[in-house]
Amino acid sequence: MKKLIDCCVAEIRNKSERNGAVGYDAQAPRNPSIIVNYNLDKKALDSYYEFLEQLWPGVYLNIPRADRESDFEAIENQVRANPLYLSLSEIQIHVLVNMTKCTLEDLRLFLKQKFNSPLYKIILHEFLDYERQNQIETSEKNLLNLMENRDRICYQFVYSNRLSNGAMWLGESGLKIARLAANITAIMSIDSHYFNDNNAYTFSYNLLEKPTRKIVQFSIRRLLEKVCNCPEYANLDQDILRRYRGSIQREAAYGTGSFLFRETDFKYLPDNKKLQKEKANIKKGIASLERNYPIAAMCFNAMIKQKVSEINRSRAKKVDFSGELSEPLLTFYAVEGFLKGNRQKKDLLGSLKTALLHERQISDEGTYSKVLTEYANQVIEDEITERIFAAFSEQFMKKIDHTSEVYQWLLECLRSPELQIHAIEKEANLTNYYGGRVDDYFASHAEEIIAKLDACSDKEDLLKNRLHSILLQIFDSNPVYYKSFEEEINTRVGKVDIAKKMFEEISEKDSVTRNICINWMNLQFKLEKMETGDVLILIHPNSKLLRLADNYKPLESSRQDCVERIDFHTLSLKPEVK
Amino acid sequence: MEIKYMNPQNQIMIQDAKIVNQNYSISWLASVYHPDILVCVKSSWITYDELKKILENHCEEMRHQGNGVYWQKVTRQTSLQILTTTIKAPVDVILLPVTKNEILIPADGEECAKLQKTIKGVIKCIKKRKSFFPVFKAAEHLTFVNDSLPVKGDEIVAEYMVDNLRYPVTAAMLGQTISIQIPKNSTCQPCITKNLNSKYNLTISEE
Repeated sequence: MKKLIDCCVAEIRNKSERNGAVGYDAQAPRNPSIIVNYNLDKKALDSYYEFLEQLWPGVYLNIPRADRESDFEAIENQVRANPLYLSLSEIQIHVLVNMTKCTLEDLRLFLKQKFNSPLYKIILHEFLDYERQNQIETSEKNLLNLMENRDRICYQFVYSNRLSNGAMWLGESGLKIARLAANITAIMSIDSHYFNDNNAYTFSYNLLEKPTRKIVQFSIRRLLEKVCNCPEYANLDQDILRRYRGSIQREAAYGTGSFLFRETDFKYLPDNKKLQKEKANIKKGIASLERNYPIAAMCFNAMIKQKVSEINRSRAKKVDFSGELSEPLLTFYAVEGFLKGNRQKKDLLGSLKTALLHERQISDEGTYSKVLTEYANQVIEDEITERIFAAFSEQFMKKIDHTSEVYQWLLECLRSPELQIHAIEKEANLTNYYGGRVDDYFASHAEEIIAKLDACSDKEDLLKNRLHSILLQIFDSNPVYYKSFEEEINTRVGKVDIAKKMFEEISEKDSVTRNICINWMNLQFKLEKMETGDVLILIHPNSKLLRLADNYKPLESSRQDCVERIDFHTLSLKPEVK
Repeated sequence: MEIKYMNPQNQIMIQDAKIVNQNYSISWLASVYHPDILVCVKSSWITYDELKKILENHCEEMRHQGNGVYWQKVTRQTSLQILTTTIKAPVDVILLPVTKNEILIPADGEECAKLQKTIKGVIKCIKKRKSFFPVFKAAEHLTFVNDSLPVKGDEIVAEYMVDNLRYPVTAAMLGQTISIQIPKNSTCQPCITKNLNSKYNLTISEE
């Protein structure tokens, strides 16, 4: 037993040295540390101290132990007095917590009250208790909660005691937790059998890892399929009308004021005497003016023309609608949705144009001066509205053309050979799992994603920045592992095709029974100090490893992405499995 | 002959250009460098670029009479009389030095404008006024006349003002009588529109 512990400790150290300190803190603490037992019972605590002493030589001598009621000021002074720690840049507080018997609020309050200073680096050693079914839920819930709301907790080490005939199985929620943990810190699971009996133990960890290239490609493809598959948006033109009509009318009203005619302006038109004598209740209009008073009509039309050319001169500076147009209504997603129903880009403005430039009815009764003023002012208003609409339309179409470009870039990306990853698409496990994750993420973050893609300035920007950052965010909330099962094994063994051989062994039906145990001699190189020399990989009957093994050949190239690494790290000694 | 651009020392200054007895009377200072001069008279409605094109197309002609452009080569002369019926006012007069095989023209329209002299055309306004007693109103009848304005009917060519209110007169209104009733103490003030001010003078004849 001791030898195995030595091996495990050596391996942890080995890993730790190879990977550096990032995300992994299994080395003996270099900074002053205090171990605080929050709520472990004596038995578990003693076992754990025994383990820590193996892991951290000198821990017993140099690291003070405390509990919730301890006088931390005195302990801290004791630490400060230790000549080993002359420069106190930080104090590591290792808090040992049984998550099943813990109230998170109390734990947070305790940490806040006792260690609420940047000086303290808090590391939680969390024990998950799986003795009864209801405890599984509580443990996992608490663990997940702490991981999602870490606050000032820097690292979390997780220890579980759950065994199923020797193999550790965290369950679906546990896997989720493990993934979360893998993405944010190291996770180390040691079941309590290690401390309490000699039957078996499991030991596993994950390092801070990145997604594999294929999973990245698959996720990009899935994301692109989502963004390119815009739902039909038949009434976008109506929404455009509702959104922009007011803005254009406001601009038109603002521009019209100084150009409007007053009734007195037409007082001395040619034939004014006759015009004034026309009876108010007789219908009149421009047609009757042109027919009966052609000279007056010419002069009147010229007055309007003069005003219009004044407008042309004064409105040299275009109205800027860039602010309005940058709002999220006009995204590539919405526009492509609109174009789906065999519609044209220009149809987007159809309703708005009709609403703005429709012919208004002018009263044709009253004095000529009143009718003429009304007509002239309508011409002026129409002219200005038309000009503002033209300016708006130009800027609008530029924006729409840009959204089309973005959509084209997205389509091109989707069709790129890099994303034609057929092998991976055949794997229902992967597509269901990660595909589902991307779908869920898109469903809850659609607006944000669309806005981000829509703001692309060019194709390169889309590929290098936007998609990349969206993907990073997806992986941030759905961690994946980058290192394949094969790579991991081959790295350990130092030879290629070891994993393949192992799977071939798994494929032999006789060896596949419930809780399969496989002799795997190839791992001896790391564990040669062991008495038996045999190493077992324990695989849970539900593990995907088994299902994959049946189809190893066709899936050879991509199967690695489906492997749950947590299974692989469940190692044990043959004699210890009952 | 070739068309070349003139430099400042080739420029010939026009001393006077006016209408005298149905003739355009043009006089200039003798040039020591260029005894041969092309006296060019173009309608003010013809642009520099149009003139240049016509000159290029007819550069071998030492006397040319075309649509809106007239030129004649003179040697060692300092004045010339051209019948106004040859080309209708308003006209721009410009003197182009002629060398052995070159006609020298201004480098651009702006340069041309500096060198040319314009003889303005005339828009005539006949104004008749009638006042009625004891009514405090009067009627004025304006008729703007010019038979050679090369502009479209709805182009504004003149205006009349009453009590600080301006009313445009279009080309189509030329020759038509404009009747306006005004207060007895007011009058209609005809004027040339700003655009045509450089080409036409307004003469008002009150009856």
